[in-house]
Amino acid sequence: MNPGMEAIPNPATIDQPGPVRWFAWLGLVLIFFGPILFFIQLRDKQLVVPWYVPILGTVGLGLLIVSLTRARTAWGIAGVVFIGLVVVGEWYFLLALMRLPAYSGPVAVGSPLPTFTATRANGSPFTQDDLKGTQNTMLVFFRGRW
Amino acid sequence: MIELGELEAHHSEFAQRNTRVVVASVEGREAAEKTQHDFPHLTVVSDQERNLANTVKLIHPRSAPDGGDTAAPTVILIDRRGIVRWLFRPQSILVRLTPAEKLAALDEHLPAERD
Repeated sequence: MNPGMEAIPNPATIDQPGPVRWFAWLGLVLIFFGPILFFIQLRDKQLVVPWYVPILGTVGLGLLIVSLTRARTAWGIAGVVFIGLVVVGEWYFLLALMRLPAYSGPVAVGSPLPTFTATRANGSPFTQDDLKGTQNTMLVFFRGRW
Repeated sequence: MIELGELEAHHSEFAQRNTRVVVASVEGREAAEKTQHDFPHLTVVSDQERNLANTVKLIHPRSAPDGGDTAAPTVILIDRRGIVRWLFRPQSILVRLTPAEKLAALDEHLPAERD
């Protein structure tokens, strides 16, 4: 370098402007905060659809994209793509995989349950006749022990 | 199992409404025995042959973690004469009625059948 010349700073080594860095960090916090909240929800036995997970993920992804537009790096782009796939997966999980079809079977209000046979835990049979007696019955179908 | 735990914890409130809680899944009898041991105040039913689930058309295909079928979460309220009084199916498998919501449904659809 000639004497008197000042080194031209490398744009890649310039620190990101303050607000842009905050966007990136806030985006990451929001992305991870959703699943953490979901675990808290489960711990508190609240069985509702956690829409906040993909919503927070989407907002966080948006913030990451904003920060990336100011300072693009290969790792940053790869990270945004990966997180984008995760967020898309979260939306797909809740909107498609977790959806239940509306009930369209033969059970109708005002009619008895169709004839059936199942087995109690002690091995004795359980049929539609066992639904009649001195008590009402709340019949709850659950998915299993897992 | 969160739902079953909640039902077990509130079993006395169902009993006050002259209502027993019967819980059914397509798991085998061994699993049903474990469930019955864990939740002694519920009546646990094994529907491994899927006779009940197929009869009322509740099978949710390929919904178990191992890819197997499960019974779609559904609540059916049946009076003492065996007549269906109410049926609830959530829109998502992540959703369950709270015990308070189940008791409210009881109070709404079977208000005069507590004795």
